[in-house]
Amino acid sequence: MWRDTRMIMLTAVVAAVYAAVLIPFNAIVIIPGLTSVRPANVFPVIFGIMFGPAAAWGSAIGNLISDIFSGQFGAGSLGGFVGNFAFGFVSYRLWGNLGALSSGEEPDFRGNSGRQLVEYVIIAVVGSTACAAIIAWWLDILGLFPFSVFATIVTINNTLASAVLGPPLLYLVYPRIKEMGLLYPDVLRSEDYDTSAGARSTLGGYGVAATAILWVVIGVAIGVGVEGFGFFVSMGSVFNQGGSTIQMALGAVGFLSLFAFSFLARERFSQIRRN
Amino acid sequence: MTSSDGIAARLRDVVFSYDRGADLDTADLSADADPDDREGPVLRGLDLDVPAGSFTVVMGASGGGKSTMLRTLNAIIPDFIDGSFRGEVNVLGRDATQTRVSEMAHDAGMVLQDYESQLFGTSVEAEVAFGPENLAVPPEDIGPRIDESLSLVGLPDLDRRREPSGLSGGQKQRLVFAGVAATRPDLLVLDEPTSDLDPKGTRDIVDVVTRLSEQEGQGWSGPETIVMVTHKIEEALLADRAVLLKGGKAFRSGPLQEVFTDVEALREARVAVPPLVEAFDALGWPDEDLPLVPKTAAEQVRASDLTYTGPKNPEQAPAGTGAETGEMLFELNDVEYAYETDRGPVTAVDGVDMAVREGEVVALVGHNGSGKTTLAKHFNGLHAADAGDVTYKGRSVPDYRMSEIGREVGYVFQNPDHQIFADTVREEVAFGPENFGLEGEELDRRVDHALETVELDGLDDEDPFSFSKGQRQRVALAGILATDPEVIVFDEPTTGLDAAQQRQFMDLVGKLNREEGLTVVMVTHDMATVARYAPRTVVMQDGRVAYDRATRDLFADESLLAQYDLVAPHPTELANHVRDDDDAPALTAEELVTALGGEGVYSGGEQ
Amino acid sequence: MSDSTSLYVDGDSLLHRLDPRSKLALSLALFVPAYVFGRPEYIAIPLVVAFAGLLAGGGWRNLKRIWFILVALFVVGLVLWPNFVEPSGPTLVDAGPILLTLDQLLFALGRSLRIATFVVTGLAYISTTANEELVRGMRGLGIPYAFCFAVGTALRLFPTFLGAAGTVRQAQEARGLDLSASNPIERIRNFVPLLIPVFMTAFRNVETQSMALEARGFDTRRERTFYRESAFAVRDWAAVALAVAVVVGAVALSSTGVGTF
Repeated sequence: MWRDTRMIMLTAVVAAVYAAVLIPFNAIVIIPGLTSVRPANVFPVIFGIMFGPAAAWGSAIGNLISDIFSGQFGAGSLGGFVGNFAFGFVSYRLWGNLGALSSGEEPDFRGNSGRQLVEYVIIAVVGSTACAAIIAWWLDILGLFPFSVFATIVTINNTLASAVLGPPLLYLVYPRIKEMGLLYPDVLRSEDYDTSAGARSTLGGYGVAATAILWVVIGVAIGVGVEGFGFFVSMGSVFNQGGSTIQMALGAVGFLSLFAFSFLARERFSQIRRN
Repeated sequence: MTSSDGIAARLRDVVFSYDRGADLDTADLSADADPDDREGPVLRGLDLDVPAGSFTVVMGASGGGKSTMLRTLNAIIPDFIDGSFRGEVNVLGRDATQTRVSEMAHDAGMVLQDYESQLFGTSVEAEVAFGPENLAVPPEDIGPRIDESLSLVGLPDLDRRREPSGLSGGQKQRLVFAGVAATRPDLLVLDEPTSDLDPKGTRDIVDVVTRLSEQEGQGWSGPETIVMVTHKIEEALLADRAVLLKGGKAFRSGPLQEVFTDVEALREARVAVPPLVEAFDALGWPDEDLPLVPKTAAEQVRASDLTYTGPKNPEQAPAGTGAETGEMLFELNDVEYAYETDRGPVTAVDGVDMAVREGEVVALVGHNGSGKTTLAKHFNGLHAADAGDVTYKGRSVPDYRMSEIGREVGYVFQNPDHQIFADTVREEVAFGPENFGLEGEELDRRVDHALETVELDGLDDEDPFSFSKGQRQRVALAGILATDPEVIVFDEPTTGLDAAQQRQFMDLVGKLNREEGLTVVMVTHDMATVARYAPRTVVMQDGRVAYDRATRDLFADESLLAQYDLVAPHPTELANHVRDDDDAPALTAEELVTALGGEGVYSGGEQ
Repeated sequence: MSDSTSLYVDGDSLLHRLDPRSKLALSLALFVPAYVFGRPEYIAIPLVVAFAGLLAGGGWRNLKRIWFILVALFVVGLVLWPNFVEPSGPTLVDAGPILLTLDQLLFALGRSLRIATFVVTGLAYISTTANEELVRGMRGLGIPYAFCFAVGTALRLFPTFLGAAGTVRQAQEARGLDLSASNPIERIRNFVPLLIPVFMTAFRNVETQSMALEARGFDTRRERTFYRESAFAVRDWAAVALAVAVVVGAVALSSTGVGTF
């Protein structure tokens, strides 16, 4: 990936476009300056499917640039970087890896668009959730905001933008990007990815989906104090860093299994593309 | 570096198709194959020699293979672009078909049209250092190369820490040249380096190319050989040799003067004939005496017995546009507008008074930063004046809703790609009128009519993205026409189009004005367009109106032109050399022919 | 679009002259105390230092651009946190469902100050570090060149694309695009005509850009040189030493219970 000039250029362009759309375009403002539904949040998903690793890295860098230019660069940016990487990475690894839920087609929304829609929406939800969980986890570790707050807000914002905008955008853009020869299976030399995706990959795909969603559901449940969980931050906890110990532990498990499963899920898109 | 026979680049039987799986053995390689056929080979058995030390200009119609040919000279074809290739390419003693692009970069430098796509550095210094760094030049040698390259391109005093994105277009392109010069190539390949620039930017690049081709002395003596593709005559004249490509083959090549005065060959290769050549050919001069520049042309006229009689209706534009005017549409009163920046407001429009009547064609010209585009955006409410007022049909423009003023006053942006999004041409064109509430049969009728007008009927279901730039610009125009506006404001509508596309687009606009009374306000840098279509010109300078009168009067006054830093088209410049003070200047080649007595009037110098 | 999209403020202050890596160490020396301490009066110290850094680096005007976000984050932290900590200490407000104790308030204030410290420190860093320095600093930290190049190129392209986004918006609004629909789904959908031109113009050029890149000799598989390498001066070593001292001191103090609840 990092040896191919076109992939490197794609990474830079994805990053610059993501940042350039994140900053000025707000569809629905919830708390001004703080949280809003940003149409740009569809990009990691659709770019992830089309540009693969270039989109994962590009989304991560793009979010960082957006932080830098909007004056929100700080310790929290690391969470945004990793979270947006996951947003793109999950989308890249999941297309075609959801077993019966996968359409087995290219995401052009022209053939069997009903099944493509199901597959797409699942991926958008999973990607959005994974991104939200990582960001909220990091902010919780830093003791800036409780996990449940940002996990909920970011999940909703990301899902709204990516689920609503993805299908029409892919419908209009996928055939054109394909014609331009920029889909990652067409750009990358075949030695750069393996095509051995099989049953293990599907397991990985389901694993990613389950992990992301469980992480947020359990984390938020703890946060809002569902029966049986002591959710208050203990004031005298070690280091006094404030993040609740249970959230940190849950996050560590969630984070590791998210990446473990997504590495298990070998990309399938190049096979689909070739058929 | 050069092979012993003095040839810098030798191409033999080069065939190339962008289609990876093309069968080159069975493909139609005749020069007459359809040039717009994207499937077939672009180069169809090209043979070409570029002599070492020469400056060769390559011209030809779109689709003729000019850019593709250039890409073989630094191994982009076949190393970088995956297509089907056959043939021999020998550049500076290397077999370019077996060399990586990055290896070729030691010897061959390339500059393309779109400067935005060629800048990668986060500062001026980093940009210039980038090439030498890639080629592993020792760091201590890079500093002197940066100084040398920046002064070569006329930017020695530019702050080295500035970000390239803050520079003007002309400066950006000069920075691209500096970045390439810093690698000290023996062969310099230029692909329409000025097509995206304004006249000032173009002149600066012409100076840079001149300096590079003549560079001598310390450090680096400039590229030995230059090959340039262009469709602008003023640049082509820098070269000493010319090659015309047609259908993927070299159709005509030789010394510049010889090729450029071969009117028949130029026409057959679909290259715009230089206007003076066209005029003198029509007047009856023999091929070998056709002039390329106004100065020699003036001497030839003086030496002949021809006399100059100015056009009979000097108030009319050569295209007959803007002749019939009606009621008052726009009145601008002391309009001011400033952009907010971190460093406080920056005034862009500073007290403008102006009026536009129905049916007029008004050209708005001036340097980048003179405020012409900012002013133009007041006509349809994209900008609202900070002070003063803008009225349309007696009512203040900001008082209209966008859905009202948008229907009446269309705005065609410079780059059609900034608005095209839909799946088909038809949906794209229907987008505006639909937003303005049209539907059903009325909508269909309007869209049909608009597509017919821009000569894209029958292409309703095509993807506008796959179109050429000229076609995309016409799609954008159709999208505006379908709302049936009274006025269209054009913002540099012909930038980036080749000569034929420019002419086609502007003829369309002219027809709309003459036949349907469309009012036209156009922001433009192209003086040939101004001369042909706009009877009235407004010159902007530093946010103010510096001139607002007849175009012909402006072009007749060389001192005014100099003051506004404008250059008249060649036929006008010639007319100014030879006419009496009370005669009006010709603005186009056709007018010049008439003014000198009509076609075939010249029958040799002896009579 | 010009240089003014960037938050970098050209200048020659000490912060400007420091190596981006030693500045990173100094930032950590503000992050860590803000993190290990909990009591607001202790976190106020790194916040004041961060403001001083911002002022010294000439970044004060950037505060005007982001003050709203800063205040919003501060207020949200202040309102949220009392709900997540045990009510202990003297009661301040006891009105039906709303109960607020002094400890809760102090805890929340500490968190909001921590948020502010992170934002202001980051702002001071960005205000005094040009994009080029940022990329050079990354390379100085040992991050592979290809990645650093992608970041640098993205920074270079960003203002261009931001300008394009503005133009696209004007072009579509002039064609009657309405972004104020009341139905949220419809409102989001109406962004399609804005998003497509922005990123299609961007991707249309990827092929040309890659070509131009290789034509300039770019090749990740070959040796390259660097014209300017980051070099540590005496002041940089001093800054790093100071940062280490502050971090060690803060961690040691807080682990003995100073400045915590």
